[in-house]
Amino acid sequence: MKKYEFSLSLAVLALAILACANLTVTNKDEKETAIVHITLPGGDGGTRPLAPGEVYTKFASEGGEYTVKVLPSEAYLKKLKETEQKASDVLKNPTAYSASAISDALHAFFEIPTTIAALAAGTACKGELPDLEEILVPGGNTGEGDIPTVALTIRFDDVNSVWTCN
Amino acid sequence: MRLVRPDPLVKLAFAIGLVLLVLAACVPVLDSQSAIETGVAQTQQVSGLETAAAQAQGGGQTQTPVPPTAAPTLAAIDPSTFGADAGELVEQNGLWYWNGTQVVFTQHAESDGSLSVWMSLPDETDWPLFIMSSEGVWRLGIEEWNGAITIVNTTELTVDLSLAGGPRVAEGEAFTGSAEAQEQQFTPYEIFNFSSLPPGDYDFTFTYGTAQYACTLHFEQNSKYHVIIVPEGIALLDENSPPQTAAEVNILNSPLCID
Repeated sequence: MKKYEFSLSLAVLALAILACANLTVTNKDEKETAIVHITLPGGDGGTRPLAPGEVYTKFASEGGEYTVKVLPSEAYLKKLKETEQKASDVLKNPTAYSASAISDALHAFFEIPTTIAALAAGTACKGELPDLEEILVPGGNTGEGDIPTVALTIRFDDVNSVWTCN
Repeated sequence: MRLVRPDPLVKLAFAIGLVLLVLAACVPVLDSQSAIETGVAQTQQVSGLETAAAQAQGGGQTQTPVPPTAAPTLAAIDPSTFGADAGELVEQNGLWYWNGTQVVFTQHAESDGSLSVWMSLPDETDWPLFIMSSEGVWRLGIEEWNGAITIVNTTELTVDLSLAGGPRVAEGEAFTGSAEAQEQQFTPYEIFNFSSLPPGDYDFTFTYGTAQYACTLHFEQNSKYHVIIVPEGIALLDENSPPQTAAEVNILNSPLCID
């Protein structure tokens, strides 16, 4: 790519970045690991175990509502284990799968995001991330600055045995 | 303007999208099958640009005109309304240029009855670079891109992903990459969802333990890929076109990986 083209890319990239936000979730608990599930505006997101003191950061390219859930660890890890076993078997023994058998297996794989999102959650936080419209207003000045960051913390409530989020 | 570092996948997505913009002479990446579906009811060229745009496009599109009501009109497309940091928008001899690249404006009637104006390349009017609402507010067209990939790391290992790529450009069979590779790390038992990739060819290289797997995937609008990482290898799936045999699930044999 020619140099000036990449420069242009970066200029507009920076503009777009200024219009978006980072979402961070910090596990403030000293003992428990949490399975944190983030859904960003537009459908981006992810799920991962978050050890005590760890920070999970997701970049949102769109404004709108976000959701943060703490999923039940056992159910989440069980689902991943089942997925691993099924995918490993398909890779190791492809000839053992008939057309219908592989179809069933694939269906289960395609449903993973939906299944994970549907896991019962004891904790959920919702909020709004800034939208691009707030930046590209007519005659507006996009200005300079860091990506706005929305910071959340989670902590395990030993008394009620639930995760709290704020 | 100070640059900051976003999620590498997002950064690459923006960079690749912008490459398409500046390569005004490149072959259209989207065909009619992969054009963006936005729920737009009808489309018409904004009146003052119609002739010039049609000439630029060798005839342009034939669309049923929509009577504008509270729509943003050509007169409303005042360069001064475009955020200065979004680039330079100028009109020359009836044609519009954004940072020196010719663009056209099309007026769209949205499904909710509102009207908007899309700014796009002359050959890619279904792929908006910017969208102006009837209130005169501009936003990036990237919000319309919806190529999706879900990556599931079922292992106890950290997986490194190197991601590069870009649109294929009509210069023989040469592959023109858009930017240097971006790095992403997936922690053990992490699921990663990305659902707003622009069309293009992306080079994925996964490394974990002593294993390394590479694959170039082609994304169009509505693409929906799944990557499942296990200790024995990687399963690669296209939800829109599921593999017909179990052997094709393996990334090593996958027809989804293009040369």
